[in-house]
Amino acid sequence: MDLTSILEKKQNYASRKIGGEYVIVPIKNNVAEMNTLINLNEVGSFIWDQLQEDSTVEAIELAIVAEFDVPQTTAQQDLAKFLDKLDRTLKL
Amino acid sequence: MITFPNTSEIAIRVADFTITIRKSSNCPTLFLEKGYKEYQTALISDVDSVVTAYSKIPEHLNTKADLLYKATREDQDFWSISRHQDGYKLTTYSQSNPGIIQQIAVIDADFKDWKIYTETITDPQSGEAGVCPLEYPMGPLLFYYLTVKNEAIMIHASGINDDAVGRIFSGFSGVGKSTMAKIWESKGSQIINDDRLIIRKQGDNYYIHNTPMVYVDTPKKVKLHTLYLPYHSPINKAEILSPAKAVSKLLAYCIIHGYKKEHLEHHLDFLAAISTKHTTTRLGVVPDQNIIEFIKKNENEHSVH
Repeated sequence: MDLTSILEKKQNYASRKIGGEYVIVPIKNNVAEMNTLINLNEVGSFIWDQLQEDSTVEAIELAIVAEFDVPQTTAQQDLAKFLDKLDRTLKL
Repeated sequence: MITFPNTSEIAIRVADFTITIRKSSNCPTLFLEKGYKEYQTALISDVDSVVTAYSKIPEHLNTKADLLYKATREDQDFWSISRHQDGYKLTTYSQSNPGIIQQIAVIDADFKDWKIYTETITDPQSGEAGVCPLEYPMGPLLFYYLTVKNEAIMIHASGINDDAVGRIFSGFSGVGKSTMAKIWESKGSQIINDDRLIIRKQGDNYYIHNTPMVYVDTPKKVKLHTLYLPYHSPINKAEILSPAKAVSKLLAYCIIHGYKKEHLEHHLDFLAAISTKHTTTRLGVVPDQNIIEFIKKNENEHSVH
């Protein structure tokens, strides 16, 4: 999966990691849209941290395997589901 | 309206912020809305904001250039903020005459110096002509920009002082903020306010403050203990939220008049810090006096500090 779309959308969000979980707030025309806040759990928050400009799906998969001690196939499937949902949830 | 005849400078203290209000030389009597009555304080030199009142809105300020954000209320212009020279221009609009400018504030880049241009009005009681620089919504907007410069937020909530223990009950209209306040008051607690509060970090602690309303009330504050998010329920019940969940809920009830991402990040940082130190509880409420014992018992069981 290409991360370009997610990374582009990510810029339109303010986020803060609080107690290991992210709160993500969409910003439109410089104003927060409170009705579409996103809370990420521990794994989601870990992936959000990995989503940087030079990220690749494969590198994030390996990071999940190392961090959570799960088989690579599980990491692959869960990451694909998460990124697909994130791409559909985040807005430009 | 409170009138200040033969007075060129007054000071008010809101949430322990001191604001001086001066009139320019062309300006008749200074007015404040009656809700500010008890907030007047002694003049001091070290202030948080300086307001200078002018008695006419200059034509050259009435432009729509460099607009950053415009707020509307019920499809009417409410207020707007634009870039202006090295700082900002904040315009408020009449709610009784749609589209008509009520006041224009020219503000420095640091949001400390507010030159407020306003038309002269006549106080119906005294018949005196004057200007009211903090006419709603200019006053609350000034307080908001004080909060974003400091460790503070404005929030829709009722605040209660129960023997020096401060609790806030936050939520949108209809969740029972005022009802909760009345129940606590009937048991001898003091209502800080039942609608709008400033929460401010002072030293190592967070304090709940009231702000001037349309009615007269004295300035009050209490040290914060616990935050509650009430909702109507057939039984009293409590669910402590994780700090992240608490932040996302509380953010929705914050009063936000910012126009850039940094303002939102300020609110997120403040709420993150407060939610790490203080418990936020979703509270199912049956609106009678039993809720007070329920809350205290629940706090004891969870050793809330």
